[in-house]
Amino acid sequence: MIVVEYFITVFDVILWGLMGASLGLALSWIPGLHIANLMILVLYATPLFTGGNEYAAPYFALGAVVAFSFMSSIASTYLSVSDESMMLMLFPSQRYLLVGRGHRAVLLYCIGALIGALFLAVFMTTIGVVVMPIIYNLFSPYYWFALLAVVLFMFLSEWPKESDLGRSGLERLWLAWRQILGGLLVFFASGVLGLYATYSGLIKLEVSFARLTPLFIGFFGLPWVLRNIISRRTLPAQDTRHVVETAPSAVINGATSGIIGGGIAAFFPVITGGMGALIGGHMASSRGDDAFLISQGAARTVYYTGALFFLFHPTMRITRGAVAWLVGGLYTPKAWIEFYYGAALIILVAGASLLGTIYMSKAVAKLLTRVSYAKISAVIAVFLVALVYYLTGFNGLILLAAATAVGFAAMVFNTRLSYCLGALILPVLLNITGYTDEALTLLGIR
Amino acid sequence: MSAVRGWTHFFSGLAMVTFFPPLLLDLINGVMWPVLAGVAAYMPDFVDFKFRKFLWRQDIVVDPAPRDPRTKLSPRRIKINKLSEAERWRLYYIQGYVGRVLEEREGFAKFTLRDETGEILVIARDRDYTKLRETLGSTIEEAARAKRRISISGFLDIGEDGKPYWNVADAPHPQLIANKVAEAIDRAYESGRMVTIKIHNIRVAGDFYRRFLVHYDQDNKRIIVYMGPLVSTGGLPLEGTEPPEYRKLGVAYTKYSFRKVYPRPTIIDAFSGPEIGYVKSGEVVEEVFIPWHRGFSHSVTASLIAGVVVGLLALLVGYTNYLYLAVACTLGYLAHVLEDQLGFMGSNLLPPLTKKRVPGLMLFPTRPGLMNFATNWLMLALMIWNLNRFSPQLGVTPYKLIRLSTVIQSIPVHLEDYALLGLLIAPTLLVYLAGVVDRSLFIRKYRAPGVEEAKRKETLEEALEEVGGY
Repeated sequence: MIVVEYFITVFDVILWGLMGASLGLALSWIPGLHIANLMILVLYATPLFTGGNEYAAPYFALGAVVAFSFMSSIASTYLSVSDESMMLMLFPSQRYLLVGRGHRAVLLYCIGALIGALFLAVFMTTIGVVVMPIIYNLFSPYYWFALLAVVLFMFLSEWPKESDLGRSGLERLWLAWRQILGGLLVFFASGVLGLYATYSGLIKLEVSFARLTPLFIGFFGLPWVLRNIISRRTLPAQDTRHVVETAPSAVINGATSGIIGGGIAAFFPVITGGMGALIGGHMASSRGDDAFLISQGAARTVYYTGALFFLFHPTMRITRGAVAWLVGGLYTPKAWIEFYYGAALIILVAGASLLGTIYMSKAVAKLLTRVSYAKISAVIAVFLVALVYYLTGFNGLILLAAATAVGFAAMVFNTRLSYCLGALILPVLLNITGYTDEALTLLGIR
Repeated sequence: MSAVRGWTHFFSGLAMVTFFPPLLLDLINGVMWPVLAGVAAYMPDFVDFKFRKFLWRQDIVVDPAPRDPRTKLSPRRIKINKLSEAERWRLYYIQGYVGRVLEEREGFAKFTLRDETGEILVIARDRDYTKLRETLGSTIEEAARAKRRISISGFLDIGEDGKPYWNVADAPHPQLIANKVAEAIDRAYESGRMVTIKIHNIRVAGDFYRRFLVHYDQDNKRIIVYMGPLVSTGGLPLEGTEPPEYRKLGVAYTKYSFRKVYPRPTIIDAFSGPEIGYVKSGEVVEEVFIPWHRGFSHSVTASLIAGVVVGLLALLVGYTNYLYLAVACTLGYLAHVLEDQLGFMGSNLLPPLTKKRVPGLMLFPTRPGLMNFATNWLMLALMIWNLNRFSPQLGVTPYKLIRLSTVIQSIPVHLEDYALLGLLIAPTLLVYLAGVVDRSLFIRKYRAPGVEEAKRKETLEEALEEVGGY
């Protein structure tokens, strides 16, 4: 008979979970700063997690990820203001911000995030216990098929936004395909950067866990921040009342779409929240700004938190997402109680993050109408560059500059920013199809 | 319109792959050719929306509010000497200095505006006057005295005295659109060929769109266009942006009778303006909404061709299971065609035997999203069913993961696969059944003989509520 000893206590869970949540709430509002980057920073700088209590890292990470799922809405709503002349279709959160309803967008997002967190905790500890292992065993041989299918669908379903402006049939066709081809270019350029970051030795081996950090900050953070500085846009006064009215159908539709999308992203490797949300939106026929914002909240929470939460499942042995890979090296679940504690922590931190995000939103909304938007953006830009330098050195800055150019290209082509995920996807696809060596030779890496 | 979204079609193609164990084995071994079945299933829309839409001949183009080429927003500037009859009712802005103020009182102003090319009379009334004052931050008199260069949006119109003037407005006059639609209908009748009109949408600052509606009054041979409020891309109206009554409505008469098959009026707002075809059919002109869509590409014939083409390509590159792949692609493509038939628009199913779209089943007209979801579920159910029954054969698992006979012992082992299939697809069947009931209720409400007029009124009122402000 095997006796498994475990020493986890409620105190551990709450202590480390709330510490993680505090870190997540304190820093996740910074654009481009993915929670994986934060965790890298924490694990890199704090030996406590590697040498102390084995439950410190997983519950700290879980708390941080849940808080990130909520608080990152501040960055996507307030700190990525856009210009209608540069983008042919703004995100609803950007549009809400430009008409003084940024706080309302955050509230809608939080509704979705809260539903997502509750669903995740309840589903995973009830029906999921029976269903998820079956689903896992049925679909796991086809993971890469699913990934390829989703990538192909992203390209096939690209909606040409500018084509109407052409005067002749051929001009319209060119305008439409310019955007589609631009998307392909962004995907492959990101993929090449991903190959360089992974295989070229530009990033030193001892910090290889942070090799994608310069890329992701370059793709998703810095272009927005620089654009904020360039456009010098001022924001109208924001309505910061804690009131939001929306149709119940928008809540149901948005939450369903987000949960499906986030669930797909959490379950299938390399498929990200944006890709999952695209599919979830199609499956649930999601329409409307309110439903979109709610779905974003639900999708991100289910994706980020769900991916890490799989790690706590004592029998499935699934590791999904960058944070889970980081923590997986330090922690292996031993008993169901750890899983159930994790579910309880998700609900606890979701409640705290809801309050934290709402008040942060109010504070940021007021601050941005008083302090120069360009100056705040400049400070964030300096912080992001310094972070990349601290983690990856000068070579990281080279990758950051290249990735920022690719991120800008996505904006110029009016194409999906999620094509930048080529940095992750292309190396994986080359790997599974056996063409990595040829690609590396072609690029002069090997 | 179709209830089924792009992913659902694509997903259907992927589901078809799971019926063929050799293709599944290839996927397990990293041979990814079977993904082409998903591509084939999406192909009908890809062909239409990425090629045919752009190459389709546009006989009449209506741009009620041309966009600024730099900002890509409406309105754009027009110089006064460029204002002509051809530009009447289109939304632009003019820029210059106030000349003479002829009259200014609460809710009305008449003055002249001068730019480097000429001078024009400007009239602002009702809410347009109030908005103009808000924009200027002063009265017209004050603006004239300050000799400030000002911008005024609006459209050219012709007064009762036959003289042109600039009407202050934030939307084009719907009369322009009504006239052009009526012209297209008449041209289609007289020429005997399809005439396609392209109506551009109106995008303004903040990524908002001006919503407008084209209503076909068949009995009175009238085209009525209603100008509505600004809406977001999600269709949410922006409060206080409805045009004032005097420029809300445009009415044009056609010389010939026309018929609109779908009872709801055409609403235009976000994304892109539609192309509408008009074709003579007997003694009336019929509307063909987005005529480049649901033609040959959406036919059973095309699905067979797609299978043959993919099969030949796969054979050429030396793919061993090319036959299975060809069949999966045909089935995926066919699934797309059939799924589109669940909606109303229908497709040209068997060209060259059929020439026109065969109307769809119009299941669940009040909840099209539910049909889409149910179809997704059906495909997922088929995938689970196939993967479960083939897993032992493919060596994925030593036994079937889902075995109903172990849970419900009254199910005979040899029937448990079929019982599982029934259980998995039951939710979809129930939704489809509800869709049939909903369809009959819808038809009873809108299509029963003798209630044509009531039906049209009701659908118009519904649509007007959507446009907002009525």
